[in-house]
Amino acid sequence: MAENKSFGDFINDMTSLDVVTLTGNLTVEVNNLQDSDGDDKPLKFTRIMQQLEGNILKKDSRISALAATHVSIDKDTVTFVKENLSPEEAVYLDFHNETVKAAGIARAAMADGIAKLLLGSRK
Amino acid sequence: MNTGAFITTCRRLGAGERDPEVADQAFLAVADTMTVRYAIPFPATVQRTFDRRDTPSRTRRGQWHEMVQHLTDLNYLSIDTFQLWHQARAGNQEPPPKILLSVVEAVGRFVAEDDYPGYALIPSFPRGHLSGRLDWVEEYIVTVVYRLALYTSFDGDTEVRPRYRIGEQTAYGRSLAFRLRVYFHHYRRQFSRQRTTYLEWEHLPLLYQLDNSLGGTYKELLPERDAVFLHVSLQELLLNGPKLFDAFRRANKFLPNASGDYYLQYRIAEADGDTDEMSRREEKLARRADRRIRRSELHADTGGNHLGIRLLQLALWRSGFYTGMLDGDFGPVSHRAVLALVAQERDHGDWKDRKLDRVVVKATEAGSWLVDLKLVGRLLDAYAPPGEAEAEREENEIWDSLRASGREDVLDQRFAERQREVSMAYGQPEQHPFRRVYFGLRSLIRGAFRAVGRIVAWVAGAVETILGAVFDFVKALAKRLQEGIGLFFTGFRYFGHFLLGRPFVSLGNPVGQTHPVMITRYRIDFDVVNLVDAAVSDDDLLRHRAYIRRMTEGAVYFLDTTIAVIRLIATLQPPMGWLRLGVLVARCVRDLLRREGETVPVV
Repeated sequence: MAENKSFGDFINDMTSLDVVTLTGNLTVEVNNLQDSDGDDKPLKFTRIMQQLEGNILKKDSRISALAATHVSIDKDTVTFVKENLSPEEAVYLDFHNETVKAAGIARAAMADGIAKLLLGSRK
Repeated sequence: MNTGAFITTCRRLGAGERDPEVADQAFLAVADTMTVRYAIPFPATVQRTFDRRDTPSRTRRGQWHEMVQHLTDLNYLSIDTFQLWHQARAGNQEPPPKILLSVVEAVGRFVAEDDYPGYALIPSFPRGHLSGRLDWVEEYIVTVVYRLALYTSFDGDTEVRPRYRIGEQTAYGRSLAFRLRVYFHHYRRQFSRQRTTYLEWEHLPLLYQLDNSLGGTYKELLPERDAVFLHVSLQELLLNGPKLFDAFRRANKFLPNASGDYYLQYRIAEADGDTDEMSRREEKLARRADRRIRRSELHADTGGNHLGIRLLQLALWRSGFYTGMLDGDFGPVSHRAVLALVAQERDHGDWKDRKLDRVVVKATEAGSWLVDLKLVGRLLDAYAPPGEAEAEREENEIWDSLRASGREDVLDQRFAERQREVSMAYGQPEQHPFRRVYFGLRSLIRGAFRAVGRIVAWVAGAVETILGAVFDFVKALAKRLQEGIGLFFTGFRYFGHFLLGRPFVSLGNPVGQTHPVMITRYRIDFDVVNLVDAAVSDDDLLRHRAYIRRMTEGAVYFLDTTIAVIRLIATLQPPMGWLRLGVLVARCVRDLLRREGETVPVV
């Protein structure tokens, strides 16, 4: 769904849930994350994202899909997993599977939230 | 950004717009403008609440101080811990880890003993590492303080419980025991630091003593030896300060329409009294006071525990004039409180000066004073906490007066600085660990409403008198912001992550000069993308998983609250100051907290 669509448009897209886990080179430099006026300030979210976007767009970013799960409205679930996972990558798969589980919970909260935002319905 | 732009942004969100510009505007308002205006960090986290180099956290720290006081009053924390906490505060230091651990453990015990149905909506209090429990307290501090404050309020906020069993180990049992300590313990004695936690059988004789002080009115209701339950009228008497004060005044015949008189004679060091030369009227009143003293027209007996004085101190404390201990000892601090009450009433009250002259009178003997408890009781009746609807009306009138004076903008700009001016009135608990701050919201609103003109003058810089209305106003406003904006800020993080597509980002432990990054993004169409750096460690990944899990568990609760606030803001009409907007948000939040206590079944 395009980012500039409204909350109302999401209804057409909610018939399925897709979870994708990607791995690759996703590091950010420590020094660029802090404000210039002190080294004890909180990390700046926007700077992390800017750095990452820069890294990911590089030709040699080496981002690859580790797993993808598709859950349809009738709860049929299909998961694709990269072949020949290394022991380290198996940890990511656990994480991926947990995200799928959490997404179900989050989905209910988000749908409820959107309804309340648009319609103001309260329990 | 001004409030008008923020209101427009909330309207667009409420209308279902979610293009990046709306989201950016919303984050700009919350993370930059409101953070500074309300002195609350966004996001509200442990590190930033106590990071004194990061300025916008004063209001948030204030909520921790309130929480620590309530936990101490209910004996989840010791007096020593309370004092150490405030020594760190006064020294402008972060609370020592050991003290912070004590506070967090105390919260865990409180939540386990409190039967608030609303807890079913939020994740359980975690076990294990301090950091996880600290995160929980930061996340749900508004809910915890809201509940704690009900158990220590003297405004009648605590609902009586017909099924309460004497000796039961609940937060409610602690609340009743707290009342008995206030009404009966003499805090200056050595045993005062060793406190019983719950209302127990051993306390029952104190109820008989209480009834004696009230003239035997409640004799029929007193629990007998084999009683299991405590009569609701006795519970209500303990929980409701004004009601108990009325009962005492009725028993001693000095309610407004009673025929009797009730004077209290006290002595204070001359340096604390008025050493100026007396006017003719003051001389006349002093001679009259001397006659009363000679004829013993006094009720020197205010109960073996000085109950009458304690109740007077309590009423003066609730109304923002008294900053000392509730110890039944009428000394210089009590004396100054009565004088401050009379001074405020002289400027803003309904009584004529000649009548106010008779409230507290200096006798001829040096340092000897006589206070007319019937008159002072009548004055204090005007400070009794109003009902919810009345409190809301009075609060509106305070803000209308500020706007009419043209000073609302000034207050909006300078509240953070002006707030500091009242710090001395908080009683320096690091030195006086039995002094308390009153946090009953309805009493504070009434106290402020009683002298709105003084608040307007204070904002204009024309009044230096803090005790009374100004103190009440500052406390009420700070409490409103802590509760309303505090919860909104926490909730807005959830709103951003789950409804505006803001990613969850965790940084792993540094590898050289770089951090591996973990990102999880929930999109509005329910698709989820994880981006994980190949160099993250198992620990890094576990922390990120725990973060996502915690946020997911709190999503329903916080989305619900935040959306209600956004919808409220969308209905507001600018122009409006940020502080006033904060008050309206706080009302909405309090309403939700109250409803969560009513509508959800106990789990």
